[in-house]
Amino acid sequence: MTIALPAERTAPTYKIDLSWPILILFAAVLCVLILLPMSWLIYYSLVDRSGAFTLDNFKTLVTDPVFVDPLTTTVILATSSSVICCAFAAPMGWLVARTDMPLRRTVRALVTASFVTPPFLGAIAWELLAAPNSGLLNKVYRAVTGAPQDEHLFNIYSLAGLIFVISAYTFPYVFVLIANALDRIPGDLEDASAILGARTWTTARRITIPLALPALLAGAIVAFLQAMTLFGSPAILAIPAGFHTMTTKIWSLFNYPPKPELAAAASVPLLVLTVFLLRAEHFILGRRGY
Amino acid sequence: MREVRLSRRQLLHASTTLAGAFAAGKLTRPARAQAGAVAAEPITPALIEAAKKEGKLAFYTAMDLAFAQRLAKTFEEKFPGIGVRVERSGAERIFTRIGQEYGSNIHAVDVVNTADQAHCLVWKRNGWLAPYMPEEVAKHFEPEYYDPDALHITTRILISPIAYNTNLVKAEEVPKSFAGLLDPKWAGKLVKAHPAYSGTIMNATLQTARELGWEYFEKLAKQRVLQVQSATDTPKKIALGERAVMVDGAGYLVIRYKEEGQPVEIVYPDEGTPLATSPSAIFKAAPNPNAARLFQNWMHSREPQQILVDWARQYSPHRLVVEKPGVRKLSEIKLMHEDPEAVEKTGEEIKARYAQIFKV
Repeated sequence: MTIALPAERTAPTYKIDLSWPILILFAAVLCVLILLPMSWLIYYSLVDRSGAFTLDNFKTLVTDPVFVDPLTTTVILATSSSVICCAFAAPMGWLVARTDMPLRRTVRALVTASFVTPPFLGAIAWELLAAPNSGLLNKVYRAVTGAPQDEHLFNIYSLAGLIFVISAYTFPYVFVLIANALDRIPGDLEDASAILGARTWTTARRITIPLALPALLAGAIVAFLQAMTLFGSPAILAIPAGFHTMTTKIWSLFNYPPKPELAAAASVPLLVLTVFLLRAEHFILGRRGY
Repeated sequence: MREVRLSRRQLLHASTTLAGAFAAGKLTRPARAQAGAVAAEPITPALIEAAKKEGKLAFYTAMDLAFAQRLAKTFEEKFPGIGVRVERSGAERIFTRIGQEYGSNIHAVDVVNTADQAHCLVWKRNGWLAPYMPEEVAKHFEPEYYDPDALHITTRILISPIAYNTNLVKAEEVPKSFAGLLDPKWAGKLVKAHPAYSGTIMNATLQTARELGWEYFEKLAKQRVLQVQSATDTPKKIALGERAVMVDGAGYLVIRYKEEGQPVEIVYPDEGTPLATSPSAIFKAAPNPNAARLFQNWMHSREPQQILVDWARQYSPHRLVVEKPGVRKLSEIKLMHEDPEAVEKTGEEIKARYAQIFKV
């Protein structure tokens, strides 16, 4: 006996495929938010006051020491800051995520506090602490060692001071990336390595670091970019010290009468550096993401 | 089809409302004077009513923030219902900002107070200012303190003297002149403000360069001067003890700090003290014209000008204001001569040259 199943009544589906319009909408939004300002920037950097095409802006950028010095300073600043951040945050992240160091949670909380402090505020705070004459730390140093009024231990109004302050408020980025990455990586490989007889440092060197390399590189790049584009801290510390970084130089170009062409040309190296770094990261890591 | 019809009606509605508001605005503006002189206007109940209807005011000012806020609060207490939005920055920055806003057709500012007369020259030439002569100004201000076409009025008079921290500088070593600051013993001990930010300092730089030459600044740059932005920052730095001597800055802040008990003292240099008169003006395209006129009128009347002298410790052009004892009267100080036309013409060059010499 055959039982005939009732014919399925498939209701006609009039659902519109929303995926294409949404994609186009997002693409349009991204174009407006990103491509439009960038193309305006490129346009301004290639024209002069009257609107004619010119390469003079870039020529000034690479020949005039008024622009070359800030560019060099910015690159030194960003590189040093990035290296210092990684040097401090990577071991800290490993200690917090991978060991049984006491006060792990406190360290995490304190680093988060540093994360949410605006760098601008941090620069003012360090100014109060480490200004050569009125800074608290220097006052304590003079009181303890009996040094004369002119001597000081720390001078926050210097390139070293600026690098220190920027690193102090940028290292949380590296820390968070590394600590989270290490949290996620299962400990099996390290246990296997320990079982096979490797010492702690060998395990760290041959297992943990390669596993954490994507996070480390990402953190280094984020720290570099953050240090390169910061404005608040250099404005407070660099200008009294007598030097400009690229960001404060661009800002100073908007004094009346504004020179947007030079400012746009000055931004292009920052843009190029960013793109270069991202490509370099891609090249080093390939498609490894873990 | 339906959407198109609705939007056209909305457009019509909006444009009619706009036209109506524009016409109403024109009707409530106080009566214009005849050609030539601008009639002096008192604060009338009609003006207060019209201002209250507008309900708010945007005040871009180069006054130090504490005084600007005090002024705004006093105004709001006297005329409740009008909220004052204070935007404080250095005079040169305010000038840049207004230029940018007007360049983008944004008319947000009602009343401006700048520490650089040259700015008013530019705005006057651009035709951005509205003429308005408060009655008290016509009665109690010398004609040199207001524009003949009533487009701007001097609100306060600023000086930029030398000052020092009394704990860090011994009485016999006190510098008496700008030239004295070039002595090698002051290397690393000086703090100075920047003419690209502050109108007071822009004027001071022009006047000092005129009297002492640009070589003075070139030699000063070798003294490892701490470069700050605002004229209100230098008194703070010497009061903190960060540096011993300020080369230029807001003299009134030094007086204020001294009276609060902080270890600072003012020095009127032998070559003369740089001077900056600080004018206020109303913009023609102000979004709240009546509130602007009320504020401008009130700001130059006896009571706020007395607050200016008593609390802010600045100098007032109002003849009836009483100067506190213990501070040198303006007439007793050797002042340098102000030159707004030169500032307007050479301002850009001054900023560029300064940046070249001091590297920032």
